[in-house]
Amino acid sequence: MLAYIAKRILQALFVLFVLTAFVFSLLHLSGDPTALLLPADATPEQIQQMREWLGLDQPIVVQYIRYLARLVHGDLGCSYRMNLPVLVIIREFLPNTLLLGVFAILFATLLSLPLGVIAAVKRDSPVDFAATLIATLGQSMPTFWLAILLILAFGVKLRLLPVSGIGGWKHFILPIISLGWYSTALLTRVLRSSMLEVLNADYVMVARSKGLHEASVILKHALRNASLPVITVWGLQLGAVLMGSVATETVFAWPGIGRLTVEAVLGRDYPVVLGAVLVFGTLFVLLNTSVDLVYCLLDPRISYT
Amino acid sequence: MKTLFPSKTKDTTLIRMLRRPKGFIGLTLVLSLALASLLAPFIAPHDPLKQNLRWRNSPPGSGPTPDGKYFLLGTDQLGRDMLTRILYGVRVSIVVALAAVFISGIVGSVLGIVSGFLGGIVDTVIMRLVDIQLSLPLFLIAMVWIAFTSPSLANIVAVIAIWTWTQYARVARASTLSIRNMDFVEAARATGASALWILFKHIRPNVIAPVIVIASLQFGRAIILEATLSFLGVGLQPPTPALGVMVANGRQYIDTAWWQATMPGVVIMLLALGANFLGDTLRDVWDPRLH
Repeated sequence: MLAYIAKRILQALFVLFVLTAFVFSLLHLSGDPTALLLPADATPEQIQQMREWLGLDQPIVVQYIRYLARLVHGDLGCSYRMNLPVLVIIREFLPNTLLLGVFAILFATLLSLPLGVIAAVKRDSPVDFAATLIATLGQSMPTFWLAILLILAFGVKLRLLPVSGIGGWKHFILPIISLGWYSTALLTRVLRSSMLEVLNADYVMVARSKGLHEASVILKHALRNASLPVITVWGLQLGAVLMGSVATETVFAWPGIGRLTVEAVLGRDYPVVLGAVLVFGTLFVLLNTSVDLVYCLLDPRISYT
Repeated sequence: MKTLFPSKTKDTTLIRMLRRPKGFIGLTLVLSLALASLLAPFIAPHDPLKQNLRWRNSPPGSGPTPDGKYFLLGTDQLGRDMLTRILYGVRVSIVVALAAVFISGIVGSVLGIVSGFLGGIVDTVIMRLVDIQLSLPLFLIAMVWIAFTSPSLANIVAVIAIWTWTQYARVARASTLSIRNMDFVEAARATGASALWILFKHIRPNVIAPVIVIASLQFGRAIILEATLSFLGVGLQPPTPALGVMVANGRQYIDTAWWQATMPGVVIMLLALGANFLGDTLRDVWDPRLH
């Protein structure tokens, strides 16, 4: 088990190394951002000076090694546009993304759990219809468009909720719904079909014929057995929510890493792009690795090789 | 899934699909949108790029213009007709998604079949590649890649294809593995059939069905991926009538011209919905175990 964990962590580090090297070379292949950072009337000497000051005149390998060396000391460089250390910017934005992500997962879980179970138990009932509708629409609706629909309905027309930025708890409602919607759809769908399968199983019939209370049959015998595929999908949703935050944060002007990344990419702010990719990548790999490790604990049939 | 009429086994796949409400709706949605976008130059009421500043931000149903035309779905901030641009936008979406699905489907299933058929080191390498790719934050990579190379159609297709080949590989490998050691393949081998013959005659037909199911589901996904990239500004660029770009433009006028952001989104959703319905139905029809 320990060897497996060690192997997974090494693998994760390797993936992160490949990721940064890839993004680093991509950024530098795409050309020199110096001219974009200076006023249009800058002289060639000034541009050259700036280039040297940023270290962009060195060969790419030297630049990459320098970057890694500074990274080890926790130095991610300075933003070209905001004149702040990247680490400071990320420290400011990351909690907002994490908060939104955790609430979105919570929202999806709390909504899909009863919805999926009731839909399966009371097949063809109004709840089943609602669950199927949510599952179907949720998977076909792009996150960014759902976000805009929510803004239109609750912000522009009804004027009930704030539609941009961060503030009180009201600012969370719409971003949470739009970020959590896709996962809600997927989880409801998987839970419903998994429950339907389990409800026909022999052990459920045995539990019923023993005269157990229906609630206990469903919650103890059926739901537990139906939960393994759901947990797999749930684990995948952590990564999906992280990626979905890019679109959600952009629409709601949410000061998080997702929006920061989009703006840095469009504004060619290399150090911020690299820093954001690094943070996002680390989170993503970390989540994936821990989900895999949790499976091993949950299901002894999965081997540690 | 209930069927409207008792099914006869000799019915073709198409008939069996059409008999299911989901299959009927899915097929109708995808085909009618595809047809409408294909005929866009003939049926679109306006020119997709022609600006008409006098009519900018007109609500749906505005008109008539001096030449007697109406703007059925309104106009955008430059007075371009929404309906026309949506028709051309669907065209772009479908072309990107089809190309991406085609490339990733072929590459993925060939790699999957090879992986399952040969086994050994080839299998290990290909499956490890799949694992590594699944552990990467692909959306981020796609964004950076397109923004720092060029937002061309080919580049976007390539990014989406690279993004989605893994699922085909897994499915094709699993099907190949399950067939490889069956008696009839064993028998073919015993009678001296070559590996290529076995691959083509016995493996291929059995891999195609699951791959097509995946392809129709991935088609819907590709539509949404392209729209999202375009919306964020790292996909197709204006003035290309891409649905994602149209939503992004309309977003700025959300409190005065609601139709600009909502209408293109409806079409994205219908396309994805149709593709998902098709995939689900095909799976039901071809794999009775999943009922």
